[in-house]
Amino acid sequence: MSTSYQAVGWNRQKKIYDWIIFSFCIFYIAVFAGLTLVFNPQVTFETLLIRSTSTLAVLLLTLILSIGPLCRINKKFLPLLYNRRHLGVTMFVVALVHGSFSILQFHALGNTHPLVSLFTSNTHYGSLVDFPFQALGFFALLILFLMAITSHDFWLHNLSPRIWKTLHMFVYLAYFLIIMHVMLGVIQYETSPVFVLILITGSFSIISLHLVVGTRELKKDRIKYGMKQEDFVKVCEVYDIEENRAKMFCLDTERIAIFKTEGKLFAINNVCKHQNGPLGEGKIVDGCITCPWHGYQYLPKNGQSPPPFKERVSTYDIKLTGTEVWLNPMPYPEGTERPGVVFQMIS
Amino acid sequence: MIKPLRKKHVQVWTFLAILIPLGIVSSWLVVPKAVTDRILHPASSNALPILIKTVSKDDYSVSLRRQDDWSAIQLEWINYSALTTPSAIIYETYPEKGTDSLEGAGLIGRIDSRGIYHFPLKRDSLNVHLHFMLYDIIHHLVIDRINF
Repeated sequence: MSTSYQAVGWNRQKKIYDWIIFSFCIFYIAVFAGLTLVFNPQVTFETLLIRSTSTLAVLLLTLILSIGPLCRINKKFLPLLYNRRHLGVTMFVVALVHGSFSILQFHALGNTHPLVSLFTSNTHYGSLVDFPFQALGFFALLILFLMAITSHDFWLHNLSPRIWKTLHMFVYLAYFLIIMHVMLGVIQYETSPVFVLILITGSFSIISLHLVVGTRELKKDRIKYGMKQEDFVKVCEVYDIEENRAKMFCLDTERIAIFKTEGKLFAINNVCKHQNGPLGEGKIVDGCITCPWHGYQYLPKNGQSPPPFKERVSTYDIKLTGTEVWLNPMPYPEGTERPGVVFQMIS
Repeated sequence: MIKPLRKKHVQVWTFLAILIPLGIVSSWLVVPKAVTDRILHPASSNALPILIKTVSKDDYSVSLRRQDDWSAIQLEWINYSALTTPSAIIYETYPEKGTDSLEGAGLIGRIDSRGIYHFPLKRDSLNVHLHFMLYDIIHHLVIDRINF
């Protein structure tokens, strides 16, 4: 948490990113509207808005859910992860426009309150074919709303990372509700199979990405390191680690990242204090280990964030035997300075 | 991401990998089949071979047809264009019995879209004159009367 509170800290990179998101949304809606008016000139403004924002929201959510595993496959996707919250809030706003106009169009013209009408105009909750799909969309929107209003470090700090992360994992439930909202809604009336094919392709891609990458990560956690010497475990060769980068090893309950920088090796706990981001997947920028998720920084020698920041992570002992790197998985208290291990590269 | 969370993510996505395809397939299976343009009255039978009489109007022509041996009589209604009234019903009226209104009239069938309609008539021979009334049951209006 910053010592000087700022509601939103926009830097140049974030501004560029937000402009790209905004431009894309406008471009998408314009193209959607143009094509709809060509093929269906009788369409009303409300219908056009409801349909364009619905498809845009699903597209953005598919992208958001893909970012995490994509970053593990290729680090070039990391800028997307860095600003994923902005994309999430944008998606919520687009979904809110869709939901609001849908309620106005379908439930606001009677003498019943629109929200009451939403749940009582169709009460076939026991039927699949006539299921009130709008209720599913409403609950998904509610989850997205809770996520959007807590998408700030203020809430992360006050709720604690564990509760915050648990709340934000409800996005998976929201995704399922949205899939069913679409399948039991528009797909029931749409004669073209294009929509359902797009939806299937999107969900298949997301599921595959998460399962493939997730399983791969679990395998890494289960690697057994056989060679032990006193309290140290042989983990790799010094050449295996790139300059200003790290390799991660799970020897006990959590991963440890060994960084190589300026002729020295340092070991720190892999988990960022901000949002539990994987520090070992980041790199060293301006002498600091930089979390790939949101840019939180730590000094390699002691695992402390540079002043005035106060985050700290545990540090570990390393030793070198020739070119072999040995790691002691016993953590030092968070922020404890360790000298690091000097190595000499043999060309 | 911490180790337990990595495990939880894989568990959640394994669950979704089952749930989402199940949801998509079951929803897809209940998609209503494309509605064909079916008329709500029973399928018209074929026209009987002998034409007895025809009354022609601007939008339709009405004929009486029969079998060679008079074993069946049929009312043939040829609609040149869809009727502007949404609910036109043909009734047979019996003015000679004092029934010239809807009350006591016999229901023959419904006319709506463009096409040829055939309705069997319960009569052994044409000993009496036949009278028909096209009636709008929503607006309670007599649209037309056809007398043979």
